[in-house]
Amino acid sequence: MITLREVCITTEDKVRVIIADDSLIFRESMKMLLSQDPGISVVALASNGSEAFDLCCKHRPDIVIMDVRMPVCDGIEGTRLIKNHMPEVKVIMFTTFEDEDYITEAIKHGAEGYVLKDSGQEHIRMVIKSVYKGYPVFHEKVLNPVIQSLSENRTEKVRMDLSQVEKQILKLVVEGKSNKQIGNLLMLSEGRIKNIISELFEKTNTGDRTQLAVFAVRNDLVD
Amino acid sequence: MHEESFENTNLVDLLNDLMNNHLSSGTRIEVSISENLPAIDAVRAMAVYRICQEAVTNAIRHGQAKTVNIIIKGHPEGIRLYIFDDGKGCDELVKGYGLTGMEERVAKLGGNITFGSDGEKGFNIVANLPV
Repeated sequence: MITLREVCITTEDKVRVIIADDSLIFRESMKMLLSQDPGISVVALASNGSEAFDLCCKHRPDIVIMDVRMPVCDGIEGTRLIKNHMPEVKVIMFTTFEDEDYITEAIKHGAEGYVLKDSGQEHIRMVIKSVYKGYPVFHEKVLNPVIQSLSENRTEKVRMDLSQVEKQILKLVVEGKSNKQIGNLLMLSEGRIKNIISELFEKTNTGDRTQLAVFAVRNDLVD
Repeated sequence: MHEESFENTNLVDLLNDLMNNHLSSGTRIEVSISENLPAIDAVRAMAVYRICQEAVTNAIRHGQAKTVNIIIKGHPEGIRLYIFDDGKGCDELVKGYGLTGMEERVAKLGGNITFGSDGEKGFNIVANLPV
């Protein structure tokens, strides 16, 4: 009886995991690796996001380890499905890509963790257990591009020769004014303002007004 | 968080917290603080932090911004705070959304704040705080 009770307690304490990856070898070897840990139990394997979702409905795992790129239904869509229906199931994205767009998408849909496939197995186990306990974990390499340095801005400032009109326009772009408003303030046509701003995009190598405003302020191009 | 707990904390710590608190939102927050920033007391640090907090919340909630840029610089009369987000922006400013609160906060410290959006994309905030 005592042995049985002990077994029960251990089973309850185990983190129940589903692995979703389109590579059979990968998910099988991952299962083998994780099963060596007495605290982890792999309850099912899925080959895409939608299968992972179906298996979650059936098994109600604690954690899903989700590959990003999978045929039929990718990991981002799988995460969305799971989080919409079972927000308590935690999802750790697992990928070879240090792609910020993937990270952003996965986090938007509620993924609690994100690790790269080249992480050591110790790290992966640690992530599973931390996420299970409620601490979001992101692989160091992945986290770095997300948090930009908060350190003091010692970067070299870009020197740029700008005309008086360009400087005035930049200042108003920084304030969030539209072409029409800028035109009215500077007594120039809206079209003229549009052209000057297009030239400023080119000069500063920026793509939109927000980037232009950030560039102007960072490089002291406005007073 | 009580205002008293901000004593002896500096602005960098506060903004670091702000960035970390919003990691899970998927919106990237970039902060840069210029070297020539004058020393600011806890009251002003708190005001800057609260304005940033409110702006970030708005950018995420109402603008679905991908990036919020916070830039803090020193200028002859004090500090200038710029907050730019690349969210949806708005045609007409609706005070509410915490903008009135930001105005009051800045006015109490003798400063001013402007909000702008060209109606297509993005929302810009520029605030001046005397030190």
